[in-house]
Amino acid sequence: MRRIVKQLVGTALVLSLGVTSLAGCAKKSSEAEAGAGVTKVIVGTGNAYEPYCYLDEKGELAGYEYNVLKAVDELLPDYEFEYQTSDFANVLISLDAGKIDLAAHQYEYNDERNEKYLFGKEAYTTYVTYITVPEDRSDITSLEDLAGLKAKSSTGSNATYILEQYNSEHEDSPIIIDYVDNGTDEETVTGLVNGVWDATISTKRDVEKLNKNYGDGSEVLKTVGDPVQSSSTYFVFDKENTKLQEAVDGALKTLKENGKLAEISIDIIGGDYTESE
Amino acid sequence: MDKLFEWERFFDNIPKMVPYLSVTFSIAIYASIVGVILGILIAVIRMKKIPVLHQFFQVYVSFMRGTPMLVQLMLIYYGLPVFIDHAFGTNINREWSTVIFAYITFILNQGAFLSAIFYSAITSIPYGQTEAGLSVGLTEFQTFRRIILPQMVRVALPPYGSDLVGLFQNSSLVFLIGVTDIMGRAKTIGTVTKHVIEAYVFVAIIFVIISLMIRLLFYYLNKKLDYGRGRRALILKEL
Repeated sequence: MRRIVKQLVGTALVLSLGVTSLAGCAKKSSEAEAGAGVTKVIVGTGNAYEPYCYLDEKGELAGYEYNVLKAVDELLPDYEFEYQTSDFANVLISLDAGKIDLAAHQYEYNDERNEKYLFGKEAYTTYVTYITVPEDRSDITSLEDLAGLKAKSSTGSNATYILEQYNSEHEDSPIIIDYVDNGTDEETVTGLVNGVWDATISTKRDVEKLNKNYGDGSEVLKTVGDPVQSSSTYFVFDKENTKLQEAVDGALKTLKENGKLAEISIDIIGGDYTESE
Repeated sequence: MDKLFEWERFFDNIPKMVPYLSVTFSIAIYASIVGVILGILIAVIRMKKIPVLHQFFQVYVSFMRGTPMLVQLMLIYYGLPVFIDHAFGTNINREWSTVIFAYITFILNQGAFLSAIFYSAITSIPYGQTEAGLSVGLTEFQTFRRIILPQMVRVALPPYGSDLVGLFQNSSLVFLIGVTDIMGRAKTIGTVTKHVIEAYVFVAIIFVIISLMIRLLFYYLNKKLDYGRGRRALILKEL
């Protein structure tokens, strides 16, 4: 008798595990069917770039990207957005793999990316990057000054692209690029202040944010010299997916015209960074 | 800069992080339960030297044991759907949630590691015992169930325990593909509150507690399955 009970319990356990995992799949597919006529768009974004895309106190997606996309979604009744977060370096890989339809992570245009992906035509934030160094350093004002020094960057970012481009043109005196993936703001500031890295590349508003969060009233980091690159950020799509790109661009245009985009920018980033700086 | 570590922030974080332990545990539980079944299956196939399958699993086990967990996670998350969707015309690439891919990776990985543990445990029982069982008329299964299994469990238990500790630690990689487990939660809290050290310290403490609990559990299991062997060894020593 005891053996039968044991076997029954065992079978029940295995079955329940199987059923729950199957139920998980079933729920997903029925959701997709329910929205017939409405195309489901999976948006891929990051999870650790405050205030653009991060998970809030409750662990839910928040930030500028999310709010812009939510407004875009409201304007597009034919589409329904669903969000999937991952590490920055994996967002574009997910686009490659067809797991997502739209990548949103403050993507600046560059030729390398343009070869592989379809960029939106409407920019939704400006992105002017500078060399960023600790407040007390005065020896660095341009990329040339960084030769032989250590710059922090992360895989797949535009800053890395700029540094690598520079290095391929200056093979005899390259900048040492330190690839730090999945790092936090705190690590960036501490590393720069302690001299782990000599510089990094970032926007003025990101530096202001870091100074505000970690400066304790004073400025610990500063941007120097002329902009390394003046560009804007765009949503990124699969090469084939022009239909979605046009729809999203159309919605972005409306949001720009009616001032909603600027509103979101002021509300979340703390300034209107949608047209110029 | 603010102080790197503050107890107040540390305690603030705890209620926000603890719920995410369920993600870590669910990965470990799925991987353990299904992994044990897979492990037994592979071990039996390797014992019986079933052609083709035997060679296949030999390569499989050496691959799973020889490559970094992160690589396996990426291969399953990005690579597996390509094969399956292509072969069966499904669309698991988009329909399955990320956490299912995490489960699959950890199940496959555990299956490989556990099969090696089970295989060595079974072979540690002298073959003469199997022969003895068969010679008194027990079937192959009965011999395994009544003679080999009770002994092999005892051999397999300690390495299984340390494997389980490793499994918990490895599960912290899933945040990279977008599953928010306790480690991922630590990172996201770091992004929101601008302070990440307290969250990391809490994660470290949690993992130490988990590992101690597993060791304690296996210590008692080991003692329970000892069938007086330890005492005999003690008596022998005293003699």
